[in-house]
Amino acid sequence: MSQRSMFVHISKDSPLNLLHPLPKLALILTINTVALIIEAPIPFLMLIILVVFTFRIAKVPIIRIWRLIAALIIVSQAVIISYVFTSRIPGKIIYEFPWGTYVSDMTLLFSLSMIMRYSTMLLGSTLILCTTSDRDITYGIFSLKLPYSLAFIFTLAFRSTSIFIDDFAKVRDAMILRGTNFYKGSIVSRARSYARLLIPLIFIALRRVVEYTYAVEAKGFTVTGKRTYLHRYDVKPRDIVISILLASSVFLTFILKYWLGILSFPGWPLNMFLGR
Amino acid sequence: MEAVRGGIKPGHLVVSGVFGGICAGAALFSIIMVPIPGIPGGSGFWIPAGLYFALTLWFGFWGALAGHIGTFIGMGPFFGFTFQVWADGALGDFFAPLINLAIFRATRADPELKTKRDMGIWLISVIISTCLAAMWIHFVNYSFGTITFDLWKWGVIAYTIGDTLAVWIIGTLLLRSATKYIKTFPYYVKGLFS
Repeated sequence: MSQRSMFVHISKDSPLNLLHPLPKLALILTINTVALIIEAPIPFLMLIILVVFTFRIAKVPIIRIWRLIAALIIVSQAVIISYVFTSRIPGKIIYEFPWGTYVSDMTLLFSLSMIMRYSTMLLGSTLILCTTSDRDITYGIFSLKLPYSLAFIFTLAFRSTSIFIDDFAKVRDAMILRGTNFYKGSIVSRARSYARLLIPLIFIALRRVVEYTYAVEAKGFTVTGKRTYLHRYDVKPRDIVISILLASSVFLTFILKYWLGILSFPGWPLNMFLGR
Repeated sequence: MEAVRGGIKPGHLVVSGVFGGICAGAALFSIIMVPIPGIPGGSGFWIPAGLYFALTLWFGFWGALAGHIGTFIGMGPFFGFTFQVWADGALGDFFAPLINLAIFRATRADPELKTKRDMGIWLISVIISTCLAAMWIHFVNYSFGTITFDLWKWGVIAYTIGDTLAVWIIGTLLLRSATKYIKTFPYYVKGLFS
């Protein structure tokens, strides 16, 4: 048996499927925060390997990682260009530009670290969202004691996206049949054609807002006040333990970087070889 | 309709949800049609910007929230639902229209843009709010190590020009053609929340 998550169908017995939404949200926050603290390339590499290994354990199809390659290439080339031409990373200067920035022996290594930082966040977030449904996110937001109105808005936005894309295609086809050409003219005139397309879409959406509002009010939905839930997610001791461990890992990363310097650039073990 | 504390109705939440979905769809189109190499989820012509600037003048906070959620959902499939994508694009797209709204409220300008004064305030407020958002977004990108500080100012200038044009083209058209009707809508916001 498989279960539908935000992106894919995954096996129902995936260990991450058994978790409460709260530790899953905590895991997203932890991966992103830890990646933001770390600067050292080797610990980054170890973290990425750990996340990829977790993909296997969580039974998430590895094909998901390949789909992220395009995003990683786009970000990587920009990071490298940015650091090569406009940075002053301390080290042995190899080339100095007339505008005052320079390329040192550490420039490429530092830009590689920054690429790995982005990769870690991307892989970590994808891993969690591959094992999380939009309902999990709703309950996760509620578990964080945030207003359920926020969870409601988030879920509605997710569901409305595909409806909008259908409406967009219908309105665009109708406009083409009436003689609008979206592919001719300057960029500005094409942009104006697309902007005109938004006007009927907004009125369709406004009508939908009224219909949805009647529907939710008929179901007893209010902005504040208590509400009941169809599905129950019980927080088990393991969920609490995992959440505490995740919070501790952020604290530990902070100490390792700012107190012991292990995770600062170039970090362990490169600092031993480079004598820093 | 049940009126609750502060005049906020379920309809206001529905406005955020439905238009959040529209902004997400528009963001997807923008990234596919005019991508900017290197900026996570960036686009040279950010269609949702024109949309959520107008939405915020019509629905206040709920319009800005729609832009915020829509941008995050729209950028996520391409560049991951990461903290960076949330903090730069999505949070920047939340503050920018609110700054624009604050300028409109402070100057008592009318979103129908019928007079030259209203039009002038609209054009200037868009530049100010977009520039502030650009500074924030590139500060986040700098903090996450995606760009260097030297590139920050160029990023701010490019972003301000690109986003301002999108808001001027799309937002102006929407405000001038739809505001009169939307003012009769039950969830039109005169203050910030209701």
